[in-house]
Amino acid sequence: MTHAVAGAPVSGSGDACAPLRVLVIEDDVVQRAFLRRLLARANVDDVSEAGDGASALELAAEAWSPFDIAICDLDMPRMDGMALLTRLAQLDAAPAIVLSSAQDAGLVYAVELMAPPYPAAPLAKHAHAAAIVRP
Amino acid sequence: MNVVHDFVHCDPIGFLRLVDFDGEALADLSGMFVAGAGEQVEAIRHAANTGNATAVRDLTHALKGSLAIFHAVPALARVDDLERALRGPPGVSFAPLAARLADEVDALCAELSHWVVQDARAQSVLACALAAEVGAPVPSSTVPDGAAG
Repeated sequence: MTHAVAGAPVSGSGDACAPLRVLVIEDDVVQRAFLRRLLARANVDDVSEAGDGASALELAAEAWSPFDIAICDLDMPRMDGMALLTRLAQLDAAPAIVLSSAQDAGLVYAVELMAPPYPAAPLAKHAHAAAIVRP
Repeated sequence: MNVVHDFVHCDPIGFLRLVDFDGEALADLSGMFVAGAGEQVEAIRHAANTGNATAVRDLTHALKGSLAIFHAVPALARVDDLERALRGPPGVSFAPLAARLADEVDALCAELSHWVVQDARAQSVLACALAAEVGAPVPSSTVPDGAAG
């Protein structure tokens, strides 16, 4: 499992005191629940979930406040992580992005060209914490 | 009590390390996995029996992430077998490999069910035991009444 981080610095919706708003985009329900637990242990409680990229874009468009971080699987139905990355980058307030993938090295390398990698297997809590606080 | 070595299809300590030995997390996520795994595996078997390689690839990919969370090494090996076959020459039947994966996931579910049926107190006791076994600090929130000291 490899993680990569891209996007704007995380600043809590532009307010240093505001709680982080996180969007988890993952098609597997067990992995979504696991990520939510990891985030809760990092005191991140404002977490929304989407099962695919299209649903994630709808959530982002309808959100009352921009998401600070999107944690995104690369391989999902309807709209995969790479396509979602492109669309999220076009938002006025694009979130920082943490990518999770077990895909072939070639695709992950392509993502790494855009963002520094955080190696972790599997989904290590500390890797996510490091990704979230990365300036 | 030597609960650790009763597990051969997954590594509960590996999971618990990820969540600071929170036994409730293991119970909840095990329940979710057990509830959905049968349907996932049946879909993989159906795709394999009908020669739908794309569906086999997509379905095993989703399953693989959950298996990694539980450190289910034998089932992950069965997934690797399937993925290797998918990358191999065309015309290979995936059905036997899917059947082996299904058998392994069945065994994994039986093992994870051990956690699902435990009550909250039992989960806490087990989490404490596991933490002590690996020398990890035991969070006070997981110490059941009367167990401290």
